Amino acid sequence: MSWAGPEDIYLSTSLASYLDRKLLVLLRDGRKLMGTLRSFDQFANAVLEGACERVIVGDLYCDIPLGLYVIRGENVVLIGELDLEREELPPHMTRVSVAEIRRAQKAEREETDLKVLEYNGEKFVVHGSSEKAFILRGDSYLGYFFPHFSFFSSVHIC
Amino acid sequence: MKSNSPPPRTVSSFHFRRIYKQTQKTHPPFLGRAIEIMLFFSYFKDLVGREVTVELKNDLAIRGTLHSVDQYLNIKLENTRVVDQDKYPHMLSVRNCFIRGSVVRYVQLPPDGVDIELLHDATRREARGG
Repeated sequence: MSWAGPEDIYLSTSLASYLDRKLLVLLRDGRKLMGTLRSFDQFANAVLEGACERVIVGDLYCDIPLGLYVIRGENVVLIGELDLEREELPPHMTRVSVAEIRRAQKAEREETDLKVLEYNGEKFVVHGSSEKAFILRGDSYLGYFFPHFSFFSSVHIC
Repeated sequence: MKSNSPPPRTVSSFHFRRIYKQTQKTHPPFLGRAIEIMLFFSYFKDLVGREVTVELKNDLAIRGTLHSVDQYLNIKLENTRVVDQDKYPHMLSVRNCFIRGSVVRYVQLPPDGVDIELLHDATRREARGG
């Protein structure tokens, strides 16, 4: 981040032109924070006032208020200036409560979570979605299968 | 053996060389950074105003006009739009953005924005220690 004189604010890559504006900050872990930029430094550390996290799962979204946040620069992916005249989200998306978005997040996570299947008395770890699953036994990778095409005599999900 | 005389100077090559020399004076390399970084910094400064697509390590690809770049290769884009808009609904109203240099995977340039011979020449000079 270059330190610029007052007239260079419009040309340089400093965050000075974003001060006191409402911003969308994307973090490395995929979170989306929105808030007003109050301070920054050369590492892209930032202070966001009135921050809220926008959680989006499919067509549902929720804004969770967080308050005053200090973000460490190494976690920042992108800082975008929100255009107040435009719609922030596509119109087909619906706003839901915190509890409901948490439930939706959990459901999404479980889709891709590790599951343990028992087959013929042996336990296998199955990782993947209902489209394609990988089979692991201990440390070895046994292969993959497509769940909706496979036949099992009995499958127990532990 | 090919002669070692420098290639003929075009208008754009003169411009780039001027920025490159300027950058070396105003942004001396500091501890831990290779002098070669200055080459790309100068090159991107020459590309300011062109339309580029920045692909990030999180697979997000953003198209926009290059507004500015700094010594860390942080990028500021104007008039941005996301390449796969439906997958990233939260980016709908973002028109300008600042991208941290450390998260950039690729910067896709316009095909006529790259003067390969110029870059080769500058890289050769760097490698020679120049």
